[in-house]
Amino acid sequence: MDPARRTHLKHLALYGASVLLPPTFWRESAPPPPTDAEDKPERIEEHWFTGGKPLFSRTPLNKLIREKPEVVFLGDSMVKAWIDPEKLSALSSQRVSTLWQPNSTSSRWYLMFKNYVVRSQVRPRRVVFLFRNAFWHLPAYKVDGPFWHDIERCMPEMNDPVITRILGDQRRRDMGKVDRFITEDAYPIQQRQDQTANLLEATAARLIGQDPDALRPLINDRLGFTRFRQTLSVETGYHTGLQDAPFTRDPTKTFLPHIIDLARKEGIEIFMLRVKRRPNSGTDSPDSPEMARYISDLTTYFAKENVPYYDFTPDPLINDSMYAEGDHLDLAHTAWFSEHLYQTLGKEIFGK
Amino acid sequence: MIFHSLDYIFFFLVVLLAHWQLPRRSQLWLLLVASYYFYGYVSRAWLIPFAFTTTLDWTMGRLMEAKPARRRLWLSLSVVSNLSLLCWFKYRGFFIENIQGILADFGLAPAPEVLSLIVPAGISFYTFQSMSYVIDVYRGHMLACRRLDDYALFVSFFPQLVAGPIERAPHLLSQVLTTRSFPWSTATRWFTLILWGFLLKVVIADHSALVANKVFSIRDATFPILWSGVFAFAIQILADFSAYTAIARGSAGLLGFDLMENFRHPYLATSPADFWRRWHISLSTWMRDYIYIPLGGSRGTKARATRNVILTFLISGAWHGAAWNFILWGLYWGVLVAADQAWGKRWRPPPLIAVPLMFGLTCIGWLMFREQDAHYLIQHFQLNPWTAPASDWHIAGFLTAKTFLLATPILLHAWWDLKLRHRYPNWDRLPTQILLSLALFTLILILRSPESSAFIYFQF
Repeated sequence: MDPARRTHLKHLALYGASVLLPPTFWRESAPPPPTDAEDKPERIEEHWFTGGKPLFSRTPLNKLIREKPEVVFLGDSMVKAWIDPEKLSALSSQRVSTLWQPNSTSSRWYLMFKNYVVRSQVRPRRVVFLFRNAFWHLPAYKVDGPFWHDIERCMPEMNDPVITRILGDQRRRDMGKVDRFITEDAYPIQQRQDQTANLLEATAARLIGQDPDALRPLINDRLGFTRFRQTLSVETGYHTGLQDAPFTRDPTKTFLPHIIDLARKEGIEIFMLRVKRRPNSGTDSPDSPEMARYISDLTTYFAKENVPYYDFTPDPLINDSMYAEGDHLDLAHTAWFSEHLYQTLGKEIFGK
Repeated sequence: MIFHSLDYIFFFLVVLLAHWQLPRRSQLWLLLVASYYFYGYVSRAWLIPFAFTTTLDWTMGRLMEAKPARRRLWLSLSVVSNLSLLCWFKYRGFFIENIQGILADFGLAPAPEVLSLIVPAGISFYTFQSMSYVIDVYRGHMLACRRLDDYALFVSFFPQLVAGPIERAPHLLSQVLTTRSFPWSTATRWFTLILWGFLLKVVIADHSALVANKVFSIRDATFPILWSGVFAFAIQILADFSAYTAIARGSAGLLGFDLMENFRHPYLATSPADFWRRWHISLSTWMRDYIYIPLGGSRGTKARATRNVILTFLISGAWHGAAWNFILWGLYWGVLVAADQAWGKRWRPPPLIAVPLMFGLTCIGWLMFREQDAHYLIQHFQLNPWTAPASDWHIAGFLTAKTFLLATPILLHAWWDLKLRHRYPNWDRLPTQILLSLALFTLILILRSPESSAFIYFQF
């Protein structure tokens, strides 16, 4: 190799090392995970290179421990939009909690039930699962990429055997070992992301003479999902994404049997509550033949397993004017539906 | 395959290392195979129209030389075939939907549902690039390419395949045909350019996208909130598209190719025509050379020159997408540029006024570009700033300030490029490159957006 080329090669190596290595040595300077006693995360140690999985989020667990509910409503954003726990608590004189995660599907509902409801040892008497249409029969829906990250946040262990068995190759599609190693171990400086984002927002707020803490709830309300256009609502993702997810009409190939078994083992009574989608809002409308067959299979399965199932889709009192965006009820009708639910099913769900 | 993914980084490093170990002919084959792998990574079906366009245009080029008497026929065949393919994939649904809409208005039963096709990524880019070659051969500006593999690499060269720059054959094909050597002296500059591209994309564009997407998702945006979203989109689209170009140029540079610049600080433009000399330069010059000038350019009467400008921009708008908002956007720019040509020579404001004025006009255009719902677009233009509540002004101020802070690197880059660079001729020495790249890499690590999206121009 000629001397000039050798020099260039050395320069290139020096350049690469000088750019790529320093951030890896800032590991120690990365901020520690949150140490709030109530929300202390659990770090899972695993082999080098695979890195640790995301921290198990204890927040929902602590919420249940704190609230000690007798009845829990569990699901995705439908729970937030349809259930008013305070109203139901007042009506039923029972402690009612909600456990919901936006964009979650049945894989996370299973984990939320197992790792929060059961693990909390609170042992609520009843857990009500809210769902829409085809969600139980799409076990592999929303489990890849960032969704997988959220699923792992609900897992205190590295693997969950049921998740592995049902999802198989679907899992970790976008979050490989190398990605994980780079983003979580080689460059832990990324832990500063939250700090930096907060700093950026605080600076922006101060630039216009506002208090960032006062501005945040204002923005959340003004740009929140209840303000979304119907066609662009967060629920649009459900309609389009459903076509890509493997659909099964066999309930035994879903998370349902595992939830039912676990509930029986723990002595928790579970209920299935199907809420009404915005009328004519989606391609998988309740009226389609495919949906009718699926709901028929589901109903048969629930009856066989002695799981109470209630369907609000034919309810004529729920109409289009009650919806804010997508399948979400507006705030006034969240309270209305909670009262309606209590009047309709108070005896069944709350034992009154 | 998208640039801002680990898949691309590994793919590129493997190709880069293998490329420089091979003799020239094998290098070209490696790049050709790599380019087809890159393009077929998402969908192998996309390779079919892609290979068809390549083979057709190469054959037409050869026929023009072999049978020059029928040159016009070969050109027509190429242009018609390319445009038909483009229309089939990109505009078919648009036409059918509109015809169905008209039929429905007259109470006639609409036709069966349109079969929705997935538009192959970058089809508008490679079709234009390939067509320019055939037109150049037809005009006698260059000789036809002898070998299909050389031509196929010119059309498929992966760094610029999906979102440009739209290269011309005399520039890129000539580089394919020559022997290249590893750019030892400029390698670190190309790596730095790639890092700059990543910063533009995963920090600036993706963060701004969060703001813009949110604003364009709500149904009741008020005047201040809407325009803070438009401002965020203006930053997003500049950062997003120039990021692609930066990564493309950096990747190509390391493979020994020189791709053209596509952006030259477009938001510092002082007139509409100046904006298009700075924004998406490869498309603007393509439109100028292959549409505007053949239409007659500025020759003839004023009315004819105005018609040529407006028509060129209408086609440019349609090139961006099969939707009325893009056509409206093209028309808007056509009118602006035509008005500038007609009256701009009489009086021009000083740059201190012209630059913000042009940025405002550009933002109006971006509103048409971003808002695909005509109902909301009309609603946006009817918004009254005086009726917005004070809280919305606070929110809009915050969103604008946040976007502005995120866009700081773009401002610093412009300041450096225009005011400082010439004072420091040796700025690109190794220590500077190391410090700059380290800063970029660290910023990417700590500031990257929690949500990432595909490049906007992939859809075109």
